[in-house]
Amino acid sequence: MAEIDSFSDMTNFEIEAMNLLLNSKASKTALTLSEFIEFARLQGASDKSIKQELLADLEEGGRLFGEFRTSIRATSNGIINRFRDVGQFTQNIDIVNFRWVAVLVNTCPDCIDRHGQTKTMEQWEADGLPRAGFTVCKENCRCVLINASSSFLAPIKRSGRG
Amino acid sequence: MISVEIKGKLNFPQLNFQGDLTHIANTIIIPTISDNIHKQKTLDNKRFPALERSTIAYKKKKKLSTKILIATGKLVTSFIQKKIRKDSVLVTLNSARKEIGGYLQIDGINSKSGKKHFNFFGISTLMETEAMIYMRKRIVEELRK
Repeated sequence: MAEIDSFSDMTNFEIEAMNLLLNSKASKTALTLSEFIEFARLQGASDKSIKQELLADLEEGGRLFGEFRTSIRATSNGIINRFRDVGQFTQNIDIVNFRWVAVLVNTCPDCIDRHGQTKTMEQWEADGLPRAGFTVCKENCRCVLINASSSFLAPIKRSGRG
Repeated sequence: MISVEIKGKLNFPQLNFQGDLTHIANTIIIPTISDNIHKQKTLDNKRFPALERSTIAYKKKKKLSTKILIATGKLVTSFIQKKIRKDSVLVTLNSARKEIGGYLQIDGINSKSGKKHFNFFGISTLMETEAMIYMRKRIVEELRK
């Protein structure tokens, strides 16, 4: 009955979301493909050379198609968590500061240090997001970043052991 | 002695792929994920872990489909895409099913033979290849205009 038991437990787990972000990070002055071709033609480039340049850039993930290639690259099981995180953070675009929250069960020393710290998403990205490999627990990390303005953490109470 | 200092970045044009990403999500990623579940295949074209006998018996008793990951059929029809911001498309599961999706694939389900993971969500190499074929066609079509 193990599986039926876990099936009925499904409503009690903590995983929040499962997302896949296709993101090409275009700048504010981004051109559409047709605009780019028109622009290149106006500069005197031939259709053949434009085609060669675009296809080569697409295959190699160059400056034009780099972010596009990254966003549609096949994911493996190991990094699906990262996609989930990216999706969650992207949905929370109104949040300025994020608080690192550890589960405090078999938590690694790096995550204990980070527990409760508040930073902007840019700062967390620089210091390393959960499961991004910057902590001892690497992709096994179970920490989450939550909205700092609507959360408060009680200080950690350490047991007498060890 | 001549020294050169680069003071600014080159202003290389960026391309906007919003429409292409939406198209890829709607016509390649979402249908393939759903199709894989109907065909009982994982993202990397393997078979899903078999259900426990007790689970099959439970599903039969409840008159649900005995296919893996299909009971009422809500999960297989729950995949959606939405624009998050400029040039970003999020493929996700609707709120009724995304928690269960995360549980099935990431956490895994306990069974007598250990944890079972159902890898149904993500981008497969086939999806990547199809997206690349689509983009190559787009380039050729745009040049014909």
